[in-house]
Amino acid sequence: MRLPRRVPWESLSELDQVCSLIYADENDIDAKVQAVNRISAWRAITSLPHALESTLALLCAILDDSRRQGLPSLLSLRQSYATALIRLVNGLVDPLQVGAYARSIASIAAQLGLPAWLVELRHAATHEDLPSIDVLREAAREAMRWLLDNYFLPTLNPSAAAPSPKTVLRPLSPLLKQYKTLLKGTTRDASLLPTRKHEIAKVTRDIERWVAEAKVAANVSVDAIEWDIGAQDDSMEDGRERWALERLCDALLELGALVPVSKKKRTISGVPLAPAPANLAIWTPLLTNLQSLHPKLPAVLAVRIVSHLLSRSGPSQADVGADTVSLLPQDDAQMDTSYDRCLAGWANWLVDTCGAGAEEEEQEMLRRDDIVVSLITGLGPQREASKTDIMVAQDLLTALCAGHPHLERVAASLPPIADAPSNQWNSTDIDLMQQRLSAVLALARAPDAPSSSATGALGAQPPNITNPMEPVCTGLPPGWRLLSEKDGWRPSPIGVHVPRVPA
Amino acid sequence: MLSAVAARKARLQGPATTQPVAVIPTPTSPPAPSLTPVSEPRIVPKLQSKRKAAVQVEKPPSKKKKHAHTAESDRRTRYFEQPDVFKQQGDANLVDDDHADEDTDTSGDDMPVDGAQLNPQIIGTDQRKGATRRRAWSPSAPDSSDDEEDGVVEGNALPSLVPILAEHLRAVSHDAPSVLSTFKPAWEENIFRLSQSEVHDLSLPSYSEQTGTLLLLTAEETVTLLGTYSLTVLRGCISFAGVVLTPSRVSHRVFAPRSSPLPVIKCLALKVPLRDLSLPARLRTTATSMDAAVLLQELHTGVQGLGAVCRTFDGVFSPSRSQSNVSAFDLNLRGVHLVRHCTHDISVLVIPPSWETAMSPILQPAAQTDYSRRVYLVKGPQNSGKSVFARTLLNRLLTLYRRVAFLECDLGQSEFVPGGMVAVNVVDKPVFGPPFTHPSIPHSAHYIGAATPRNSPSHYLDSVQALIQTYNVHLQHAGLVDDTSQGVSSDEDRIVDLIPLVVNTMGWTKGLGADLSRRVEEITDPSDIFELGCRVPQRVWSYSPSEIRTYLLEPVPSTVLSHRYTPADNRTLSMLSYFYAVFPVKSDASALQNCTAMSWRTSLPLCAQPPYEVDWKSAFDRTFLTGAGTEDVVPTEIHRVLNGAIVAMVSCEPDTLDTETDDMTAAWSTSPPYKQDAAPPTPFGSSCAGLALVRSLSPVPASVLHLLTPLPPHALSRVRVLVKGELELPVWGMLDFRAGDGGEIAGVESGKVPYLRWGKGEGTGGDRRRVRRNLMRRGQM
Repeated sequence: MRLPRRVPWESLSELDQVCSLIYADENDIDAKVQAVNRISAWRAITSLPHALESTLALLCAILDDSRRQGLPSLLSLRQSYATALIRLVNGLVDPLQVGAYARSIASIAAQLGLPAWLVELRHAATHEDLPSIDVLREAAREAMRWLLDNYFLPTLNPSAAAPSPKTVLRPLSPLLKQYKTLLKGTTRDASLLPTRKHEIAKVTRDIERWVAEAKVAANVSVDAIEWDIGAQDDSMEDGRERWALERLCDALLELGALVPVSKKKRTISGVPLAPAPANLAIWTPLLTNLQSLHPKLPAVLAVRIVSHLLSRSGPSQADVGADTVSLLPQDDAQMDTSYDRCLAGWANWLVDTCGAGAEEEEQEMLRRDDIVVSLITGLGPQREASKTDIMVAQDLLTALCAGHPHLERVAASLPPIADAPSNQWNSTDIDLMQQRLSAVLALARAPDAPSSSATGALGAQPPNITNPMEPVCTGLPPGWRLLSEKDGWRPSPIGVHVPRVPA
Repeated sequence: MLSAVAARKARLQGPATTQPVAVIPTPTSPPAPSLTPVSEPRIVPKLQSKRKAAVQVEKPPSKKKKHAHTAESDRRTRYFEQPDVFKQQGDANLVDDDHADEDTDTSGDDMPVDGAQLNPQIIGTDQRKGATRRRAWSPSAPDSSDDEEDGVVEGNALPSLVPILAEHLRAVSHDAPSVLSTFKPAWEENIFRLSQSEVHDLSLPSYSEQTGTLLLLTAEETVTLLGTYSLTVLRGCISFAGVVLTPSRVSHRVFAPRSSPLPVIKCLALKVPLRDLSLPARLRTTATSMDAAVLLQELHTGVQGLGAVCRTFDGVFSPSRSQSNVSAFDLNLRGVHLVRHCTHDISVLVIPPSWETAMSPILQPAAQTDYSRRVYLVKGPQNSGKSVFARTLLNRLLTLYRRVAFLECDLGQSEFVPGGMVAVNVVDKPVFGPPFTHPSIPHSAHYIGAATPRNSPSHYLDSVQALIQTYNVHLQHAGLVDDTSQGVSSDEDRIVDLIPLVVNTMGWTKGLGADLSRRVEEITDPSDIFELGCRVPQRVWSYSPSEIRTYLLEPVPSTVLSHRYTPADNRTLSMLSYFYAVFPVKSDASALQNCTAMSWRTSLPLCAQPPYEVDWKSAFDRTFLTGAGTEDVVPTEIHRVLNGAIVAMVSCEPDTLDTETDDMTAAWSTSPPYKQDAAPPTPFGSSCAGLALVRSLSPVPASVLHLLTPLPPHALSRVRVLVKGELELPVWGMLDFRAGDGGEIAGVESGKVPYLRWGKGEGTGGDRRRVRRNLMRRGQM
């Protein structure tokens, strides 16, 4: 469930009103005073969006400037301009400092489309001589214009916002290749490790940085993401991170990364569905490192692999993994089952090693159950083990369920339907679906029974409390009166007044 | 910051072999030397040579450096090495040298479960630590949160490595989970259903009309229960939540949600004869061979409904999925669940041995004629267990004194009041449960209006000063003149005529916070100071240290819960719990009787609860705004600011408000009485009764406010002033839980609900400011 956010205005029309008070007539001081009063009041209600708070600070400085007759010195004016500008730039830039290391403010400002000279002015006003009043006035004008274009107009007219250009990320493959080459050396010959350590550390850091950059860039392409369940302030953050991780996983799934180019190295005979040890040795350090920064990585990677495996099952499912497929080399000669088998091995390994227990409640963690569910759903009822293209997915399902009696039961309860359903709708189809559904539900109900009955009993049972309103009515101080539905009062959202209707 | 950089360096340089800083809590000055329990050395299979050969780009950051700074925070961490990839996967071993060191260093962390002390040391610390899992560092989700400011990332949040091979972690957390209940229930052997009449015959003052379940325990047996229940000790002696309970007709209300450490009932072997209550005849013979008899009864308060109000805490009173999978023993009590094993989302209340040592001298029954001032101040950094210690101390003192006063100076996480205020409560019954389960009407309180005194330090100090005066003058010896205690308690063996004071301080111990804490210490003039989690003994005493006994205590080990529920979450829940609470209506106006909520009205959301209609012209003299920037609010906008606000209801002494001029009075006929840039009422001439939510205001010509407040009428009688601070109603409180996830509120669809915005706003800078304090420069790598 996504929580809404408290805003100080009743509706956007109130914000629109403030916007026109500020921008309609540049010389209308009274209107600006009204706007300052309104925003100051909003500020006392709840914390404001940064852009609005900056608008307030700039407006106050501009108003002071317009009424400056009689001021003994302009220093205070310069200071209030400078503070407003410094805080504007800092506040806009800070949310985009999402990595462990500081990015330069100039680069973030460029991403935001903030004029570069405002960034320079921020630096000068903070660390150097306080800029002249002329420069500051011009900067304030520029900043107000920027706020109108980048905050007020997009907020007030959500649909009118220009579509952002498609994000272009620099390719990750060279970095991965470099990493692989280094690790190949050190895994074969441990004595190389001391000399290569720094190089490995550097390339690992470069990859980390790539993810951080992708996360920032996700800013504009984030609309395409389905939001995860998340806390209010984290949801956007989650979406960005997920997007960046998906791009990372796409690069990892390319041939020559997690899946070696040489077919012989892809799998080891005898051990079904596990990455080859040499391969594992190369990638584990990087994955470990990335996972420490992005705990969701195993989950994203496993989901990516599964959706790739399922997308192989036929053109009808192209929509499931269209994104993935397009990123993979289309050369089918290379893409034989050993490629899929190797990926399935990774997925199996991921679930085995980093999968959280089934009881884990963290949303973002990799769960065996989730992967099994997506496999079963993706495979659909006509899972025919003979079909080679989905055989790998089928094998992965078996491997994942093995050793987990609960999951084995689920998988067994949904036997593949032998005869592929025709496109014709039969009345028996619904019965079949019903039957399969109840088979699964019967399994689910068994272990969950105690908890659901327990919570149900407590939740449904209204607490046995004598109506507390009755005694409260007596002894109220003058001017107080308890309302009830009899007075014409009815429930309404907090902040909406429902007057009493005199009887 | 330094530590983070150091860790980064260490990681890049490979295995570090620094020695951890040994931290041994040693009580200074008078009290007895601390117990130094022998920890069992952990047997750790190490494959050093193999590991060296493996590809090891990184090594867990040398947490030892961090150890010196925030040792208590990383007790939960456990690192595992990667597998030796040349061997088979299953061969990888957990590297536990870090942890093993810790075990020996931090004494008492792994307290061996030992025998017949009167020591409510709770089992299960060890495995619980294994079960906890450190969350990976992420800038969006700060690892530690600072009391000082929400949403600020602490400076020393350290990128930690969560090893990819969590397999072993799971193995550790799953194998042999520690047993929380050694009690093996068997009907008609050691557990009995009591009928209504059998309970009635016990002549308990409360819950006598309910059936119950009687447990017979032998010494050392433990029972851990989840849920809400009433607990009555009939025979023998048990330790519970750090307190020793002896037979009494008093039933204790216990709230044990999963969101806080669970208290454990432990039977004690006591040879001293106690005044046992007579059990039903059919049980007497069975009971003689047992050491204690405990009566459990259902407790229905509606508190579970708060989980529906604030979904963060959904279902905390019932077992989580992982526990409900284990077939549970049915106690025949609704809402009570027996917890046998420790799982990853449960933690139990641990009273470290150094706490025991520190508390024992002050609990010696003093001579009846000793009327010296007893003020116990509890201090320490955030998350060190201050409030748990303060609550335990309070409960312990209540076994010796009939009443204990509790001064809350922590604005963020208050024990009895909803936050944003400093308050004195007079408590006469031990409290078992987290703060949100016992919201109370304070004896005396002053509203600060924010979760931190950052913006109004002097008002905060004045408020503490005023409350201490109240305690010194009105409370300390109030038992002497309070006639209610005389008649009631002829068999009262507790001290009646002195009311000691427990002071809980805030966790903000850096910068201005340190200065404020020092001033609070001076103002309260404690007789004993309990300092938790102090590593560097740097104190500036401005008074003679010899008069104050100071105890340095080890911090409580951080639990999995502090990750799951942030201080902000707990604050939200406390606030909502307060507004949904139902306070008893007092029959007599005895100021010393504590008024704690007995139930919660959670069947209706706040937006559907009938409000009070208040005419501000006749009911209120003034309204004030406090908080940074509120002095800029002009009178024409006050209407807007008050709508939907949380206000404190304050009563002022006559003549403490400045007189209003005629033109102000004229203006107040059309808007609430407000004067721009006015200082809030002085704490020395006012008192805060409680909070109210201004759910709406009438359009301008009328002078009507609709208020929601849980306060009973007797508490409202003197309220003439409203103060709005920085506290806001949590968004959860504005929603309508009846509508499910649809977001409909009182029949209004989500897009049209005023003052709320769903979804992400467009436009740059449309979000609230985020502050990061752990940003590193490239050069620091």
